[in-house]
Amino acid sequence: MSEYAKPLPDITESTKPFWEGCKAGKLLLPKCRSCGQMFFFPNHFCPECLSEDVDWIDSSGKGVVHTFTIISRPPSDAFAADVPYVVAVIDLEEGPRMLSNVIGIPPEHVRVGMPVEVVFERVSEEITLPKFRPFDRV
Amino acid sequence: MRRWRKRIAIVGIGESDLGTVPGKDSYELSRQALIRALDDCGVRKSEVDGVMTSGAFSVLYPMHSLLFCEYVGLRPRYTSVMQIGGATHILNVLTAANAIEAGMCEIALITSAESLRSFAGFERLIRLFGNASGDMTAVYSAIGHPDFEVPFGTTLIGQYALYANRHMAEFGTTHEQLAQVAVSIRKHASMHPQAQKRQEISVEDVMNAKPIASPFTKDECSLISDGGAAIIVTTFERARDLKKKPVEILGGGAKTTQEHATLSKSFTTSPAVSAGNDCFAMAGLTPADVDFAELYDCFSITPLISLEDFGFCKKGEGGAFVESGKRIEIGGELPIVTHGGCLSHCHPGLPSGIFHITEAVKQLRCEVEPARQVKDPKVGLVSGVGGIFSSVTALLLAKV
Ligand SMILES: [Zn+2]
Repeated sequence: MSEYAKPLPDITESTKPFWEGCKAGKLLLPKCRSCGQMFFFPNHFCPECLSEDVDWIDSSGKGVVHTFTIISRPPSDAFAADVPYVVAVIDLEEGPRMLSNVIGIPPEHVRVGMPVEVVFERVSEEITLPKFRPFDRV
Repeated sequence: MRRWRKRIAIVGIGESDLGTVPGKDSYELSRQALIRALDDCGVRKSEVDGVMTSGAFSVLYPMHSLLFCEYVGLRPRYTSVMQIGGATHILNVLTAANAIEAGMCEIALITSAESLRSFAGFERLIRLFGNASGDMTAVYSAIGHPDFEVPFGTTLIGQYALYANRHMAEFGTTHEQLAQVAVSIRKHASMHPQAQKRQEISVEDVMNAKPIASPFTKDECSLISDGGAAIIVTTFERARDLKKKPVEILGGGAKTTQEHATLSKSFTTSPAVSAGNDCFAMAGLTPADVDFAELYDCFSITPLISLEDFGFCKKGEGGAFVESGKRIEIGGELPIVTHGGCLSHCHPGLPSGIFHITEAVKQLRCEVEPARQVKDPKVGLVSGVGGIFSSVTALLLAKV
């Protein structure tokens, strides 16, 4: 694998199940056993009721674009070759919202409300990033 | 919330040199602003017994207000550092009022300054802390969750753009309407001798400017500046023998909902709803009583959503409200950002919101250039926004 220059997330005890899931091709979302709430960002406790009884749900990986932007000025040189690219907030079917990229489509074709599904991009030995591509509901 | 039993006012303001000010670090810019604020009201430095600062990334120091007090020889009873981005300074004014009400100090200084353009003092910081990038704007734009936002190439500007695009999709707000916000604010800056950008622009200019994060182009994004300001707050009683008429603090409000954009419950409504409700309730006023609004304007979408959330128009009607610029410019029903704001006047990062307060005071004292003076203003609203519409503060100020 060629050198990946972009910032990578840190894997902590709290987020390990999420990143392990991505590596295995699953979008695992944390769910609080105590109050039933699904939440994001992944963590070892529920931010609503503070319970540490957290379950991991294998999600459908499907959602819709809640909102997005096309980045033309990158945050650093590491992203320079990618512009213009899409940063989007995805409403996942199970409820939580997550931020990611919408790929596999010209940026100017991305729309609010567009159905998308997760795809996994392996960027290092440890890290696989969940990204999204358009998904046609049949 | 109730108003303070003591009547509390802003009595003095001072701004440092603004724009590009090489060689003056945050502490030096604040010292300059302090001297001007003391001179503005006639308070002696030795009388200042409360000091609220904002910290400064350019001279990162764990005890910012202590170092500033040492630098200028202040020995306050009450001091604190507040850091909630552009929402900081209003909350510092409210902290000052609370401390004065509680008897913990009598004359409070609020100050904030940053060398965001010239990075004065920042080299020393790099040496001390080994930050290799050497780019302070990188420190500011590093806002974003390190694990769940940054790896996807988010930017601070892009995070506000998420709000703009959702507002456009949900309410039919157009990019032209957003551009008009930048055009009207620039028009005000064109009449302000200290504004960093004074060349008037058109909606077409904005639309055709360099794209940054859609829909925003360059003209819809904050400037990068050096500068700072100082504000002196005290009781009406103490204000009696000072140089200028006091500007009364009628009410304040604050609300925080999250830090990172991903966790925002709404991308069309901000914490300004709650901050505004509290602020108006405390003042016993309604939006109809407000003559002008110094709305925080880090990006073109920010004042537009703020107009809706503070109740100056209905949700979704912000686009129509700003269209043509007539209603939001000097002479209109609600002039906004009369100094040119973060977009055209001065944006040194953390201190940026402090100029919205100093401008409101100047407007209420009728001290600005005739061309941009709001006619006979009695009440002005000031807002501050920190993070990604994460935290909003509001202040209602009145001529006495
Ligand atoms: Zn819970």
